[in-house]
Amino acid sequence: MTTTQAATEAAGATGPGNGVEREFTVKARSQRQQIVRRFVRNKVGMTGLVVFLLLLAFGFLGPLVYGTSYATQNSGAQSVPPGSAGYPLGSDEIGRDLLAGLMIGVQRSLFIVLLFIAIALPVGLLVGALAGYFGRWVDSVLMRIVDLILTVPLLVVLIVVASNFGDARTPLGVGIILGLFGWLDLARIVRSQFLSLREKEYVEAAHALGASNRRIIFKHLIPNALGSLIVWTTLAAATAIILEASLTYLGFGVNNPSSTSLGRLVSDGVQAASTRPWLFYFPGITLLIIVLSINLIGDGIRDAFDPSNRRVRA
Amino acid sequence: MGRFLLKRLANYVVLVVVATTLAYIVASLALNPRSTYEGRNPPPPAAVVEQQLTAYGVNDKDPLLGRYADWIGGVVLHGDFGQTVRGQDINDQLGSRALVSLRLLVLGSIIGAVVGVLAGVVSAIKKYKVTDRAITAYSFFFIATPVFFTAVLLKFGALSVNDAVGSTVLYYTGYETPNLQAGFWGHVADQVGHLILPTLSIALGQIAYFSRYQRNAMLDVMNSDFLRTAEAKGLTRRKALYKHGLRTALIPMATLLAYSFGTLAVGATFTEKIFGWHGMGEWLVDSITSQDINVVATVTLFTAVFILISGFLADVIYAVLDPRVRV
Repeated sequence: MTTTQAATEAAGATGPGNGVEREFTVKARSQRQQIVRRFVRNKVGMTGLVVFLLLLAFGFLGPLVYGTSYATQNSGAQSVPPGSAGYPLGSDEIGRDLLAGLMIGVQRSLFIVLLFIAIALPVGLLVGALAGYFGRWVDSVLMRIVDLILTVPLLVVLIVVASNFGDARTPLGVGIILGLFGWLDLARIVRSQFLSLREKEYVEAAHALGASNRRIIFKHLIPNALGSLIVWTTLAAATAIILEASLTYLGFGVNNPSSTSLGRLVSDGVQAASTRPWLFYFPGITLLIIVLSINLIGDGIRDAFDPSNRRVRA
Repeated sequence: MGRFLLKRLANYVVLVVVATTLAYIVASLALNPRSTYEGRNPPPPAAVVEQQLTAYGVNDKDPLLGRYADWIGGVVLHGDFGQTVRGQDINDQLGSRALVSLRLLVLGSIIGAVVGVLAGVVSAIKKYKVTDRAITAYSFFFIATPVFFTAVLLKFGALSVNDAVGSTVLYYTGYETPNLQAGFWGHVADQVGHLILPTLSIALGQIAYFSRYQRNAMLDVMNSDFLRTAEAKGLTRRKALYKHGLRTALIPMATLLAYSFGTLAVGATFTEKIFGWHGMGEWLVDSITSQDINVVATVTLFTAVFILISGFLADVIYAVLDPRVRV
């Protein structure tokens, strides 16, 4: 594959120069191009991506277009149902506009997810890769550390850490806390993948050719474990949003008076579910859509990486 | 294999001890039991507060390791988990709360894991058919919903079911009707009625989670060469799938199983809170709010033992399924 590509590139580079016209121009596609192409042709994945982009626009461009600020409290319009003048999705008990709240909430939740992935993915991948590839004492030490943190329930750790921040927990803080304790399961998954992958013939072959450990891990093992990595990333992104919502529901999540999050809107809504159902349903549905779209994208990417699982068998 | 498992078990016992120690120390550093006595009117004399705190073993002026040694000594030697910050014996509540939680956790996780794995396998075999699409849609929906959102929806659903039937079939508060006079079978029926919704709220999410992973694992295996070889040597597709495919596809699930119990213990907290079950999860959240170190450590010990039993089970499954894995 790479040879073909190199050859075509060379041909392409020299082609126009000496004016040789070729009868057939076969364009080689790199691995990456193929993956992108497969993803674009995947209806489910693209639906997820479009919805996700719409949500991005909703969260980041929406407030500019909509104009109403979530911080504005209108004592004349408390708990108005959806459809009232000026409040398309209704308002809460202190007269804040729910639609504006949802926009800010989506924005904050995406920010939390980004932070979470940026911290948890590299750490989990590295720990799992080292443990799975080297085995022996590296494995024992790393996995015992993982086991150790896993044995203290995640909720206890998160609440205890969060309770130290008192009344000033912003989405930034919550994102970092989630990231710091979110890599443990990834490490275990990567390790178990590497345990069986390292026994494969192509790894032995790479060894025999004198490839360094670093090369084997990054060029051979990680690409082959990419499927589970991506499934994890999407599921974990979903989990991060839900975990934020759950922590906030228990009173240990985002609680800074001036900041909000989707989780905060949902958990406020749960308290009001029977009397003001719109405060419960709209944030809940938004949360559902955002998590769903991320998962659909992940599914599309997975199929794009691994065409052997597609409908048409090669 | 026996030696391997024994080694793992010894490992786990050490880990339980370390985890409990960690939880105790972290809780001691972060929580402030003194606040129970603050803001009382009239304020209790300082000497009395000190004496009480010391008696309960949570005085931050006593050395931390000494307090810990006292507490763990009581647990190991006498099975005494100490007292809450208000002076009640933890042992009095531990038994009933543990039973309440275990009922929920064990039932929810077994249903979740078994049904989830089955759904995943079916989904992979019937790839892109109606069954697969239905299962996929189901799991995407429930993976995307927080437990407490599902639980509230279930509660609403139960309300309308009860309205439709005309009597209370599905209960959504507590784990039994207090002071029920209905004989043995009446009690059983009553408890089952209470158990349905909370178990559902746990199992629905677990099924979604497991079936997704199992489907992916199964699809990976279904396209592998060894399965084609198995078919080539004359096995039927079905036999090849179940004897060779499923066994391999279950290996990554073993890791997931152990991990899922950790998340389950977390998820159960919300279920307990919403359905008014007085279990371990609810106790944990309450104790952190009321700055109760001993209770936090006790609940952690319980959870650690629970997770480690499942971790050990996962190791057994690992060893049985895949003799190649050199752990």
